[in-house]
Amino acid sequence: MKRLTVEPYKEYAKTAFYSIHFENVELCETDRFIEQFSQSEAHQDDLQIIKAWIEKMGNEKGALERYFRPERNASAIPIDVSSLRLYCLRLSDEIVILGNGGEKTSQAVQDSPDAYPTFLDMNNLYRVIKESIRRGNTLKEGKYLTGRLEFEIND
Amino acid sequence: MSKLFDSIEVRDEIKRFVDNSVDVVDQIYAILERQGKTQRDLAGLLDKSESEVSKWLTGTHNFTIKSISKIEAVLGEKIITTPMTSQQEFKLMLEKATRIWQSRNSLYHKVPVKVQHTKYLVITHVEHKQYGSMHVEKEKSLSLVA
Repeated sequence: MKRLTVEPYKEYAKTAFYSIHFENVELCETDRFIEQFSQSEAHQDDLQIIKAWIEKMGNEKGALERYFRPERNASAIPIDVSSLRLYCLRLSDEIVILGNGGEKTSQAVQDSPDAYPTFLDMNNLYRVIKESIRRGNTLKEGKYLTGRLEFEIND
Repeated sequence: MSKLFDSIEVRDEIKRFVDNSVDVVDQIYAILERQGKTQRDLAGLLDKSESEVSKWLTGTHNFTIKSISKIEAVLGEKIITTPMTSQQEFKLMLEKATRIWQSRNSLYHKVPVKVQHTKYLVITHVEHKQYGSMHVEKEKSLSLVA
């Protein structure tokens, strides 16, 4: 099992973005994603598109369901112009949890070694956080997640 | 709050790309909603798979003029317009409202006008002043309510 904390990442007028931070890892997963792909010249535009898209949702539109591509129970921030995926959980128009991501190099994510582990993490988190919200242990209050924010997910 | 995220500098062209893509997507959704159609209906009209159309409608698709034109054709409505076209339409709308207003020869009117499926209420108002025997039309104003 891996222990993680859901922590605030970026807050805008309409939507707050959280990230996940695994125990004993220096950076949160979204920063690890940025750190990994900012080294690659080929992905500079992709990272900028992700940031512009997050700011657009956060400042103007809100995290409306239609902007997210479902990937099983998680979603991907869609970089339609490249194979890069940033996985996330959209909990409401006001709350999104960003994870890590990778290059989706195949039709089925299971066949993409870079993207699949991060895809699994977000899908595993979906199960535990949904259950925690259902039980009232984690609360969605407007843009804010409160209550239980530490979870364990499968390796 | 993330310093790494903040350190990404978004070029103006990238910001405009995302803005334009999201605007196009929102316009398509607005038309679908007004026409009582779904994403699946649109996929059928375009002879594409629903998953492909779904991919287009998430806000970072690089639409071509050709693909936008095709969507406009199957939906029978404009999706994009240029500032120049908007100004021309606005001018025509004001001219139409002014003609109606003048024909009614009245001080205050509310004239409904429809442009690109949006209804506007053109409110026209004239303030008259009487100086002895002279009647002066002092002020004209036109205002719009979407």
